Amino acid sequence: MEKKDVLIVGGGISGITVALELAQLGIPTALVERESAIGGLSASFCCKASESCNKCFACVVDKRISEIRGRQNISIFTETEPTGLNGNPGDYTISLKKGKQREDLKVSAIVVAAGIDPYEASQKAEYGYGQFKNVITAKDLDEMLRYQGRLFRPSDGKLPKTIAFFQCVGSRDESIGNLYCSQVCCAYALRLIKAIRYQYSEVKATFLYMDIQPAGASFQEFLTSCRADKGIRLIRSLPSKVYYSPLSENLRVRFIDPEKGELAEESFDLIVLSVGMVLNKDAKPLAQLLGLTFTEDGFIAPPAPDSGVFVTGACSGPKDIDRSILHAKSTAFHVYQYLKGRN
Amino acid sequence: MARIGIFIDALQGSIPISFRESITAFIQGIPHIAFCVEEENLTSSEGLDRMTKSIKAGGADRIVIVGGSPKNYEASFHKWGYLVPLNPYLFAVANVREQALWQMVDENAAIERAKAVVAKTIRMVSASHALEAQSLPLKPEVLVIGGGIVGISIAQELAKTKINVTLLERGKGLGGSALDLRKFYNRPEEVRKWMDEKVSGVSRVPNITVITQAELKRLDGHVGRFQAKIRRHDGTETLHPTSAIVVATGYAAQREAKGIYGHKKVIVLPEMGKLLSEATDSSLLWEGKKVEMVAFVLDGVNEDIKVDSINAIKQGLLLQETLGCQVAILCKDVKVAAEGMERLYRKAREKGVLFFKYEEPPKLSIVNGQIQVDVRDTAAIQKKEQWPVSLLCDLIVVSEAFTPTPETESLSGLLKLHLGSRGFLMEDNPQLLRVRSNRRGIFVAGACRFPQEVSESLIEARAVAQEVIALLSKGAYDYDLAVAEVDPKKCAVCYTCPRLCPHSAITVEKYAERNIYSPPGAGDETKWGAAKVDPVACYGCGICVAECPAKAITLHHETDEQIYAQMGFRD
Amino acid sequence: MSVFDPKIVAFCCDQSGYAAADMAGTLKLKLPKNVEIVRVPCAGRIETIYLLKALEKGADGVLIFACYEENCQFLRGNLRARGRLSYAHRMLEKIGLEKERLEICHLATNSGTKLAEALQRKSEQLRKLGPNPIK
Repeated sequence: MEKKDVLIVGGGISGITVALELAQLGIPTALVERESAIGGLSASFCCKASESCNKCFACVVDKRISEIRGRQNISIFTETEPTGLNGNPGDYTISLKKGKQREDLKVSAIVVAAGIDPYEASQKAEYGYGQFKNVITAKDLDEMLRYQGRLFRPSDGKLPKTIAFFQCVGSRDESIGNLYCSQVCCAYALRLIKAIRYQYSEVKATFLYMDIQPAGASFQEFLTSCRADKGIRLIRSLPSKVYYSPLSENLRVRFIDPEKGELAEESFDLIVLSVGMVLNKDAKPLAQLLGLTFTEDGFIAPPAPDSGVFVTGACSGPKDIDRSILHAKSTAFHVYQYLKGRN
Repeated sequence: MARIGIFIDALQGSIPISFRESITAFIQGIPHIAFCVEEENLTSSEGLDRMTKSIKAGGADRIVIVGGSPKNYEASFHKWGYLVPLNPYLFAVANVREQALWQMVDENAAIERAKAVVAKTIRMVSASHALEAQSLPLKPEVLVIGGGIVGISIAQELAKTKINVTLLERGKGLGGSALDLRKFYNRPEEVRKWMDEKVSGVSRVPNITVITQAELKRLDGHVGRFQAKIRRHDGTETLHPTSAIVVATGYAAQREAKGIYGHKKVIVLPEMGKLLSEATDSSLLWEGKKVEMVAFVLDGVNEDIKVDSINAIKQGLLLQETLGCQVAILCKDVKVAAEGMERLYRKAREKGVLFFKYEEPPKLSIVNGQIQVDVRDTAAIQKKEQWPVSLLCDLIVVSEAFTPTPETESLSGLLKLHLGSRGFLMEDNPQLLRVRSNRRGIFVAGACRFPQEVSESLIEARAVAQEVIALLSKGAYDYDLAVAEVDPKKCAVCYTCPRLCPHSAITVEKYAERNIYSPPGAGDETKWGAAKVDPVACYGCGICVAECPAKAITLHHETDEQIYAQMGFRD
Repeated sequence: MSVFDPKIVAFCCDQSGYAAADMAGTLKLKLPKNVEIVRVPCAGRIETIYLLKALEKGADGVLIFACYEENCQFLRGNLRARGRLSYAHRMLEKIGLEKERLEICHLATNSGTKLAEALQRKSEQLRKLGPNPIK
């Protein structure tokens, strides 16, 4: 049976950062990832620069991924997941499975970096995700820009002239029990808007929000430039329903127009839902396997200090890429201290 | 004469056989090739063993891998070096998969392109030189500038790993801005007790030397060999050698004192925190009078700092729930982007705290000894219902502006660190991540970079500890000479390169023995100044190389020859 | 004008351009045929003389791929490249060569589509402009 010092479950940006930091300290690690490639959710993000960098950190993820390839003291296992845990703190035996293969690994510490899933937008049936072609999530938009390199309406492939962004889909919502702010979506959507308007200056965007949350670097200047941009309307009003007209293929939305101070109804070519974060669906059974508990908001709670199990990244609470990397570095430090304390 | 060994990587079949065969045939016609074999799994330990055997058998002195992107191989060959018995710089990758096979419309075009790439890679590696690696011993010594909560935490964490820490503080005692913290809202411990423990904890640790009432006067040297001159307030100066430096000098808070903001009924959030910690029974007193109506006016100065909003909600909830006040919070946006804040926000509303979201800033005026706040409530749907709301308050709490400390600018000059657009340390560059600075060996943490909540600053402190330990843990810093080097004979000391280097790795020193301007008859003991690139501090970017008017600087792994070879012209 | 494949020398900064070129390959995007990719550690390494030598040796156009402002790994390299490009432009003006033959394009590590687009666009533009008269 192989022995490694540390097992990291989850090959997203947090897992990769912990592996790289521990490797710098000379600690060999095994990184286990369920999908066929490492990178996680943030590896599907596009660059959101306009005339200069907008500090979205998406390129940093790509850089970290290429840094980790071929390193001798980090063993990467893709399409692998943990199935069982035995042993005591500091001396765990973890069972892994890859397809039909089974293998056991002896480790001294385990780091959980299982990540998050975007909130399932189809659960908000009133918005019509999954029913109306031109209602997409921010993640769909990101992937469209990254892999296709251009913006288009799914229904006819043409450029949308008007886009509405709905914020707080799945967050800060008592009706679905998600009583937390996902923290990153406001800045994320605004950066997407800025990037789109730089590439296609004729596109007009309407940003429908509750409260604008700061995230990422240089946010004050960024927000000021968004407010000054005549092609972006920032409206504090969340719509309740998307109306679809099959005759014109139009999507109509009702919200409070701040200019007139009354209810307005407008049609949009494309609607983007800024979905919030929920714990990755495979993280729940994993957490239960490792004896971890959950916070009130449904993320993984910090484990007991001497358990030899550590939780890092967005699976412990919503974070953007910047804070995930910072948190992962801090976790690597804790792991190092723990391993040293055992010797 | 170069003898080049070539390995063709099939990359698990992603490069088809016909393609590989065409390339092999093409290579047969090129001179100076020692051997050309196909291989698999080059970065695995078995693959590396097989490569070593082939290299020895074929007598090759440099190798080329024909396969995918160099980024797949470099970690195994370049930076973690010497895994095969060849200098890591006598190695090149011909990227025929990502940049030929996959980018061309038809296979013939791809093969032509691949041949061109292979040919120029072979030319490039023929022009390469072996570059040695060196090792700089690093003593476990760190200088932490700033004795606030972040500086103290970093010092304590580093001291646990047997590093000797010198903690430098400008003021009389340790603690910094956190000394103003009066209340933890979600933790049972008393703040004062927690702070006292942390501060006294530092003085008990033998390998932390605390120097108060002193400042950094001068810094020379580079990572591993910094020389810091510290000047105490009584005038004495001492020299401290150190391997790494952490800057945690904190922020300054400026409160608006003009006009009505200077009124005694207008206080700032930390003052309210102090009042709350001193409130004994079930009511709040301000200047002897009972406080019944409190308004928090936020987002006047900082829109992107969450701390104000978070503290206001917590303070407001306490005032409303336990001290019998009516609280109103006025802000542009309610910032709940922190753990548990959305729930607290709802609880505050349930308990009766009023929230007003404004677009135009509220107006303050004095009416009968009380402060009247006029705000237009934008939450009302109909514009005609958006009456201005007037609140008559006993106390107004405003946010302070977070600014860099006045010493930050001079400190950035001494340490040769960059300043951001708002005057805080280090510009917002995502590539530098959070705790690094533009100089190797100098780290920046806490509010001197950007003001944030205490819990976030403590996470930054641990991340810095991780970076410092990663630097010092091996006891030496291994670096290779794939960096810039100045030819002192050609240097005209024009000072272009020290000013340009973003990492402040170039200094002008008297180390060169002669330059072309030495007068005839001058003895050999004459030492002339020339620019010197410190190889440990150099990042190998090449900016100085390109800028030097005399072409006196060479970048060893990216020489002009290699670049011209890559341009693909048969010269 | 006869159809020819313009020869473009693309200076790719290791952090952005080169990674984007790899990504373009991974996405199987098609690039023009006659492109030489030159890998440099930072756009700041590109000297003005390289741009001019490329044209002298027969390239029809030169494209520099550098990082966005405030995203350079080495902080200022991309801005220096821009400055050197302007200098080269002034020289081209003096000798009567079209300025469009030298251009800078800012992108990031994950901008594979942008790189492919920029090269295709440049190739088209140079096709219309005609081959380098110095050749």
